Amino acid sequence: MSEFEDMYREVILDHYKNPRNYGSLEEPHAHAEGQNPLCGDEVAISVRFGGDGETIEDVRFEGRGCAISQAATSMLTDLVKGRKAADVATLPKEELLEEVGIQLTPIRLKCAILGLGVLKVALHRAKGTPLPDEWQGLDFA
Amino acid sequence: MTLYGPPPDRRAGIVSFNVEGIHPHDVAQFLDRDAIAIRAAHHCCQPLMRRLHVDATNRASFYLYNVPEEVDRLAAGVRHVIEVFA
Repeated sequence: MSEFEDMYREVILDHYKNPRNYGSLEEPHAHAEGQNPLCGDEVAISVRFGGDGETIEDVRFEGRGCAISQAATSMLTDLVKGRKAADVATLPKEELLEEVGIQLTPIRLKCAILGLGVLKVALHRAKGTPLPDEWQGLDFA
Repeated sequence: MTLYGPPPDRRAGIVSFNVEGIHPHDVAQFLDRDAIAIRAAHHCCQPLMRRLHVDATNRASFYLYNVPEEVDRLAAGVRHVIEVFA
C-alpha cells in the first residue's frame, strides 16, 4: 500500500467518517456558508466567541461533498478552537494543508481550503473587517 | 454503483457512473493514482446534475487508443476505491 493511501485511510477517512465538531450552534457570533461550484462541495460554519469576544470558544460545521473537503474542514475546527479570531482570519492556508498532509492536485486544493475560506468569511463578517482578495470568489452565501 | 445514460444499443463509448457514498473526486483521485484518467464532478452541466438528482458523477470515455486491458484496470480501480472507503 502506498504512503498516499495510508494517509488517506488514516487521516482523511477518519475525519470524513467521524467528523469533529459537526453540527451547528444556536445564535452563533459568526456564521457563513459556502460552496465550491466546480464540484458541489458545501460547508456551513458557526462560531461562538468567549467572554473576551475574541477567542474562538466553540466552532461547528455542517456540509456535504468529497472526503477532502469535509475532512479538511473537520481538521480546521480542531485547529482553530481556542485561538483568537484575528489570528484565524489571517491564518495561512499552508498551516491547514500541513494538517491535511497529502499531496493535492490544484482541483483538490480548492476542496481542501473551502472550509477555511468559509471560516474566514464568517470571522471577517463578524468583525467588520474586509475579506482579503485571495479568499474572494468562492460561492459564499 | 449507479450507471447513467441510454441502454447499451444506443450508447457511445462513454460511461457515467456513481459509486454509492463516494464522491466522484475521491474516485477520480484514486483512479488517477492507478494512471487511469476519468472526468469527475459536474462536467459543466449542473442543470443535468440537478435533473438526475446527483451532486456529481464519474465519467469514463473510451476511444480508438484504448485497449480492453484498460477497461479491466478501470473496473479493478473502482473496486479498489470501494475497498479503501469501506
